[in-house]
Amino acid sequence: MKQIKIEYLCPELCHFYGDAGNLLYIEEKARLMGNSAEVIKTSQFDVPLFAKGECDMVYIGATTEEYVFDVAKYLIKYKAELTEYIENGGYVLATGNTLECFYESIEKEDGSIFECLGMFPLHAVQFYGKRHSYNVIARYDDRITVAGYKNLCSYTKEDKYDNYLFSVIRQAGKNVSGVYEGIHYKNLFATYLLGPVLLQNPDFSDEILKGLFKEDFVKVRIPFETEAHEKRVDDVMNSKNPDGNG
Amino acid sequence: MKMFFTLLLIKPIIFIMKLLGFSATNLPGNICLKIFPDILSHFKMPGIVVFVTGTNGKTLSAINISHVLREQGMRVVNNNEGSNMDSGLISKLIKHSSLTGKIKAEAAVLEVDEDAVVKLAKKLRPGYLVVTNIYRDSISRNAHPEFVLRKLRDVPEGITLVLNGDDALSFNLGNEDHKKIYYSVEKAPDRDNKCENLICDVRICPSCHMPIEYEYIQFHHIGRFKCSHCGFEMPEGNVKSSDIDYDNKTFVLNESNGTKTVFPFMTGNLYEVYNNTAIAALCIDLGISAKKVSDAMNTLTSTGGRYEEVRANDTAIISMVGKSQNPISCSQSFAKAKHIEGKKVIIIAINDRVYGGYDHNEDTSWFYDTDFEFLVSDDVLQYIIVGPRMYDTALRLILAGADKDKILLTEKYDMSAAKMVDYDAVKGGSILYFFEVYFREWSVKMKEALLKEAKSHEAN
Repeated sequence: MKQIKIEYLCPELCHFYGDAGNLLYIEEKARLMGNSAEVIKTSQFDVPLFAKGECDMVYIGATTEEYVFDVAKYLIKYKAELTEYIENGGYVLATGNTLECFYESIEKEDGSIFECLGMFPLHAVQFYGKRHSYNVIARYDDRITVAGYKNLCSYTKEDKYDNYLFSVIRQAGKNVSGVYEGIHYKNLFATYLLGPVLLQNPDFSDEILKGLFKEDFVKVRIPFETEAHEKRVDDVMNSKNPDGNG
Repeated sequence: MKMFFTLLLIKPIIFIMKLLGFSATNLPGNICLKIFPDILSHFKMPGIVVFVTGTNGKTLSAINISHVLREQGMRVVNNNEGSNMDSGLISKLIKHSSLTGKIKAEAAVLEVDEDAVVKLAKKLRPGYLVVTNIYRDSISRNAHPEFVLRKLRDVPEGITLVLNGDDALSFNLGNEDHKKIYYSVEKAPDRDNKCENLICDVRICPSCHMPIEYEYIQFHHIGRFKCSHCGFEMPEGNVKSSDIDYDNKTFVLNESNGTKTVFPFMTGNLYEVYNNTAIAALCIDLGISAKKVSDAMNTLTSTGGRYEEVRANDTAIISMVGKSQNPISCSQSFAKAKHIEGKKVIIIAINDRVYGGYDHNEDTSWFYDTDFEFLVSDDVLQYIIVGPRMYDTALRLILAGADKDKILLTEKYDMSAAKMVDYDAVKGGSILYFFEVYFREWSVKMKEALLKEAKSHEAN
């Protein structure tokens, strides 16, 4: 039996879009495997566990266009420790716009530039015009289909880059094979897809869970999770209106 | 002159559509927007124009304000069909206007979508804007509360704002030039400073972003706190409710002059106390005494379909609305279910792919912001899930603690669910069904089907 600790960073800022479902999911999966997962919340005013080497995974959920700067400021404060944690193979899952914290910068609506962690040569731009909101079907490692949802007032300037997480095959009504999405570096998984990404993608989740539980990993399924994933993929791939805006 | 000819063209269209059995809710307005885009600025509005907005409760609050005003002898225009964007409002106003555009009523009480408030306020020049609350809502339309508030920040001057003083997100709308009336509700008897819901949209001070300690939370982020770091505090209500009595479904409305008046709340839900307090705050400012407002509210006979209960002999059949994609709306209905004692069968027909026949595929993230945990208890005999997102709903229920063996699925929006209920087992208890707000017709048919099946089982 393996016990893991997951650090839920800045829950007071990163609590939008049902993100906590990811943690509920890991806890339940661990239980079904005969293991256990403990979720520990660390607020923006506390020293993170990853800085002390006391967690197996860091989770950073989606946030608002204003709070993302608070999250980034917090991470910048612990940049050296976070870099070391990631370089040493520590797991990180970031969903929604908190992905941008790992970029070089975010351009605000007024044109000013906010310097982020600078771990990857990427740049985000915020805007408050029409919000990007659509379903996405993508591939992970060219073999696993992933379904998710984006809802953003920002975008990434760069079209192509190394260390992408997913290659998108369907988005906003278009077949767009080869468009990159997210960041994957060692065990850092960061994606614009928001909410319960793990819950909606059991095969992709297994890739993370295998690494977390290692020899104690067992492939298990929560009732209905496979059916829910397959139906969503099927619905979006065959939809005439996959942007989900009705 | 353009107004005259536009109305001359559109009024017969509305008449014919109605004759053919169509609701004429949006189409006439859409035609108007093409031929006379600025038509809204040209209506001669009545002396009292009230906008009602907010994430939840705006439709019913607008209907109930209209009822109170009608009880005072006024003719009132109200968009009670829920057509709360410009095309719907245009259609409604045309139906109630003369050919010169003069509205044939003493008051217009208009429910307005948060997206459209500022734009429509500039054209229709309301005297009042009542804000029920701001929460997270449909992700595709409203993203998150901060995004909604940005849309509301430029409310035109000259409007009296009736604001929820217990809502840290919306009480601060407007600027120092606006007249503001705050309403609030004292701590309900069963509440404390802990949030019983999964989500609370205000976890840090909206001003300085430092941690806050609530004095009390009624539900989600509705409650009171004072920031010990920057001094940010909630305003005192000009009108404040207290002494909530869930058994008798009454509360006491306290005015700043010391007057106390007993008010009803039909559903027995705390959020209705807030809505009714907002209505009272508005009407008192319009010069109607609290006693008259209360008397009028005592003559209300419908909850607008939000909560209905019928009986098949020993078994209660209870329907509740849960707005798809809106975790607060669903959580409030689920909270009500939590307090219904005895054996239960729960039917959930809330999905994201239901809007007006659209091929809709919004994400189900909001399930994990919704308190499905309120539905899980040993006395639930069956969960029957209806609709295309049945697997996602079932998965959510299991993660909330539901027993897989109690879950039954049916994809089509037909009456299959009524055939799946174990009537013998639930006899003497309750069959609860939650339906999507736009599926009222389905809900009525389901009620009839459940009644018929339950009665036939009891007869056997």
